[in-house]
Amino acid sequence: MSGKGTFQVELSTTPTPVVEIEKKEHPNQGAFVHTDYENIVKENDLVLVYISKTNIRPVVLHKEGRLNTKYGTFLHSEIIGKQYGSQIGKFLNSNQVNRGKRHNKKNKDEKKEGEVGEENNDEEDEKKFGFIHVLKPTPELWTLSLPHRTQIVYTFDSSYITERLQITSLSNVIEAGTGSGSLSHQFSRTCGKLFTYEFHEVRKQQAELEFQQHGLLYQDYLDGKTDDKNVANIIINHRDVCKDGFLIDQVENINADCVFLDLPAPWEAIPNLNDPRVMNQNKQVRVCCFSPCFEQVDKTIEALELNGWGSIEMVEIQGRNFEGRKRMVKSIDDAIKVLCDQKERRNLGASNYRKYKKVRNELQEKDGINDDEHDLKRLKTNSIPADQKFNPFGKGMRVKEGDEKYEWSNVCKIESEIKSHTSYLTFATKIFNITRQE
Amino acid sequence: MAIDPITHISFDKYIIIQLPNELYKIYNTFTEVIGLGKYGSFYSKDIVGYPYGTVFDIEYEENDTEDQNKKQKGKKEETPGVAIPRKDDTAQSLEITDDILSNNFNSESNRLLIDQGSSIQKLSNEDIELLKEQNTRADKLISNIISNNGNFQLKTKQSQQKYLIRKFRKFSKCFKVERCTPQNLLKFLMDKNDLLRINDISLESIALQLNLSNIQPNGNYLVMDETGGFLIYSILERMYGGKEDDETKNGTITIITETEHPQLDLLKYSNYSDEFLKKTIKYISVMELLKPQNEEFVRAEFLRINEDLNINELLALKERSPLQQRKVNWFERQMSLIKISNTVDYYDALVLQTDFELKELVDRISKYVKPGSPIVVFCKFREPLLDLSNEYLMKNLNFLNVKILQTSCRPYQTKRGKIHPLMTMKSNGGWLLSCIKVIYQDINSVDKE
Repeated sequence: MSGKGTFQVELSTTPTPVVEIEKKEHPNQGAFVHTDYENIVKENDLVLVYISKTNIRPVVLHKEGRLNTKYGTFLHSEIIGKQYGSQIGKFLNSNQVNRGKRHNKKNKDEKKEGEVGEENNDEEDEKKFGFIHVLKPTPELWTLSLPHRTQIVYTFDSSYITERLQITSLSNVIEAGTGSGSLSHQFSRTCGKLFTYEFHEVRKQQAELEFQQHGLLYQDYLDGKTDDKNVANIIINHRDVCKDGFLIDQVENINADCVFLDLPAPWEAIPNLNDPRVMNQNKQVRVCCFSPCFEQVDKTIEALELNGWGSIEMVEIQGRNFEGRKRMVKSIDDAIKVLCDQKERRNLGASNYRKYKKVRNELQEKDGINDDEHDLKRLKTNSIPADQKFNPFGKGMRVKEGDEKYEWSNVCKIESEIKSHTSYLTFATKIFNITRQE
Repeated sequence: MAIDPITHISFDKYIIIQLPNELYKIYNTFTEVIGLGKYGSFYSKDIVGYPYGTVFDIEYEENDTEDQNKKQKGKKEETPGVAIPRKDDTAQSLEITDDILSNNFNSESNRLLIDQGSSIQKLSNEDIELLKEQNTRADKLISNIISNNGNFQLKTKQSQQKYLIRKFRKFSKCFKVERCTPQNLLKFLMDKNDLLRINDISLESIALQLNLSNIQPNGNYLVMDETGGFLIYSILERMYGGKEDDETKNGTITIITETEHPQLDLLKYSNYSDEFLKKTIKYISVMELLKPQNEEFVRAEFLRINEDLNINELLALKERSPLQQRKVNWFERQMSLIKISNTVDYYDALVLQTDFELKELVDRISKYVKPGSPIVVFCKFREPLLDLSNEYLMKNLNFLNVKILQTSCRPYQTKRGKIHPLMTMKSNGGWLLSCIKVIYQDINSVDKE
């Protein structure tokens, strides 16, 4: 079985991030730039290895590097030189397969992911085919694979924030509370310059290193390490913006158009935006405060009103992930037939039943009665030939979802655990100083 | 200082005006006088130069005597007021301040309030019309109405405020000018009840589609747009932000159109110049993409149409007459279309909003997308996406990470002490499907060791 034409199901659970990038590594610049015509994986590139929906790993590729996955060890040299998006497959040796089997026996319910079995007649020599995909990092995939240092902002929220703050490639954005840097990546992709602040020193260092490895640090553009200032646009500072404000040494005037505050007490930081060197003065500017609790929202609104912000609106985003699944079509008539079949068998006894069945089939062939043909096909394919049971739903057998021998309908399944509340988003606008341009 | 057309109101641009009743309307500053119906009218030159987001009050000269009023009655409609910006208000909100209320007594509860219909208002309709014709300022008018309302003092403060907001929406002469961004355009269409035109898409859905498509300033995107240009405008905003002459950005959008001439009427509100749109957006019809001609055929057709004129000679000419130039343009366009239809693995994302059968469509056009790039499909309904996912994408090993997503935004009434979710909200914002195009490796090519 090659896997082509079958229906693949990947089950989603909570992601488990694993990071294999060493601190001192400096991968090639431009990992997040998707617009080069050349689409080839090179040595020292930062890539995301897609193992399963819940297991996406960031890896820097080296000539001698190795990557251990549940499908075996992949050499980095196998990946280098391939196109992005390539599948890299491997036949697992029998040892790994057997280990996998033992594992499967333990967790019978757990389905295998992304794995397609290669069926050979010889059980001992069975080879399994496992594969990974090599992908170019995008902020969205990074959000799924990044190491969590704090609670992160997921794509449903971040996309709405980007749109609602009207962030375009001209906007200068302030983000307070870098956190794990998930949102920073998404902002950085779209905005002009991103000023991000983190008051936790270790987290700031980790984030800074990450931005540097991803080629997003503005300092690297100034130092001439990269020449695309649309990409290298993050300026990160270690700062408690509530106490010390937003002004920084690197630039005189931040001229921000949008502010995103993901802080425990955004109302303490809001007055600091009034410094004329922080926000763009003669323009409509926008703010978004991200707080999980209602009490925080209330205090935030109070501070916004006090500081002259208008059009205040709080919203909540609810995003849902679904996956396409298959549901077996079970006809009630088939169930009746199964019961009739069982009853007949019980009344006649097993050996008589087989004879009876044979005679009946012959009779039907002679008379050319075909109305049972559909069932007979199922009989042949599904049931164990020695015991000709009518088994239309594959009872007692391991039926793979979407198995072509059965009839299926398309259904949609919501993820088993949903995020019912992430945070309240409070938006507001303000024009600091209305002057007329001639 | 010159006017920055991205942040400030400038001449000959589409603008969106928010009225006191919170409706959004589109106007063009090209028109000399902008009329807002019962909210008044003003000269567009009065608002040019101020930043977007500014609230203006329309002020008229007050006519106290009836005589003057009668004389001007015929002309009155045509005399626009003066639009004056609220310079001291940083919040720039259209809502009323509490000034009027402070002079008034209010009741602690509404137990004394008895509904007596319109008889409680001592001002007659004619009186109010007269006041309006005399161009009385809205706050004076409203306080006049209040003082003549016998029940007003018996209302609680909350209900007085509600009453005021209602009156304010009816009588005040102010407006807020917003830039014609996709976000505001969407609100305009929502107010017009014209969401069908843009496939019922909500702001949160288009936001998610843009993010999942990983739109970058230098990318090349393959798009099918059934929303009359709304999707394309949104993508353009993310890429360029309204600035046309940025040399560091050179992304393009290629649009597959159903008809010979694209129907993108919403794009005219985008305020991008025609030259810029011509440079950035390429159109190709379904026929030209999926049933391409070859170069020889085009050359033959050229010869047939133009009576044995040699294209090579025409191309070699340094100076061409307008007619010759048109012919050369035609030829070059055909050549570029052939090039597009032959360039596979090129685009950085496939962004779809279309009524066509998705399985078939994705099967035919996914080859143009670079491997490893996202494919994001929006649909009003879930079932077509489910069908695409189950019957095509999940059976085909060229697609990874197939997800169906839905997102909805729940707005709240945001007044301190009265925070609660709004009673009604838009329910159908559409559905999205995202996946990544990958390269399937033939199992037989893998070394079995």
